[in-house]
Amino acid sequence: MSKKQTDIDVRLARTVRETRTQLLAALARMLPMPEAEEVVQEAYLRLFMALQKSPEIEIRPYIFRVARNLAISRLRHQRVVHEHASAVEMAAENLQQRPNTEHEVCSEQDKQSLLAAINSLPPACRQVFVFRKIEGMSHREISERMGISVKTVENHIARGMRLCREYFIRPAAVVDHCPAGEADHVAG
Amino acid sequence: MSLDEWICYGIPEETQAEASGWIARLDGDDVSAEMRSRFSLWLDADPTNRWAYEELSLVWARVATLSDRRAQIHESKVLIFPTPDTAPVQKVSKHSWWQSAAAILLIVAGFSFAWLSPVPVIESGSTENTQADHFLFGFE
Repeated sequence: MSKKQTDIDVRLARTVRETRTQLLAALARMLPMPEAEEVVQEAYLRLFMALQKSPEIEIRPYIFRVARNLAISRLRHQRVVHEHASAVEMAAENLQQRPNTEHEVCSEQDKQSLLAAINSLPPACRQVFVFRKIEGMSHREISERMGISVKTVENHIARGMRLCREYFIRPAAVVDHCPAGEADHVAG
Repeated sequence: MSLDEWICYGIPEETQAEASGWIARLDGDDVSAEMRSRFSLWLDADPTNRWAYEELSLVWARVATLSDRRAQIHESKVLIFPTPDTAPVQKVSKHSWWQSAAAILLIVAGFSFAWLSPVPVIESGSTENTQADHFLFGFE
């Protein structure tokens, strides 16, 4: 056995030892335990294959992301099978997805969804998002412009992200609850 | 990963709150080495921490892709109050006491007039309505 192969085996064994318990516990929030165990096994197998190709990959982020994507693929698959028996083939394609946190492409659908989520934010929150992400202002510049503390700017960003996420999980029928023109007061 | 209902699926609310807090702090102007170190420890403490951080970061990062849709983002009519440093100081006149006294006198006179005025005769309707009308009339 080559030295390279031995290194990979050692790293893999250490990763399994260090991550298996917490990975299983986290996956058990999404799937029944037998399925969580299957996902963990498949994730380690994929890690093994990835290490053969690129030994320099960061193991912990990789294994966590692979396991998460596999679990979500399963859930998607189950939902599609449950709701549209004829669409099983489409769900099977999802199972072939590989983790890809780089070079993400923002689809038109994602943009529309994000736009709707941003427009549903409370006005002050939305204004902070626009100043920071569209106009590229720093937190300090935003705080001076809006007459709020830097800490409040942070709070608006953090809250806005969680509200966007809540928007994504709501039924599609939910409409914008925060129409344009609504004003709020920001105390200085 | 798409921006859909699977974002942060199965991740506890408190973990999402921690993750969004970290994203906001790390996005700030002054990020110390100590803060980065604490973040690194938090990130590796549990897979759900990393999932929440990565998935909410995706939301945050993609907001910038809306720069070409600026016109479609609703205007926020945020009323900005002046901060204590910039708030204009109101000068109090030393002769303003008589203005307060005059205002109080006018209010008392208004009440007295309302109370002492004869109740208008109303041919029909309940007494309650009559009193209500009278009360309102006193303030007209």
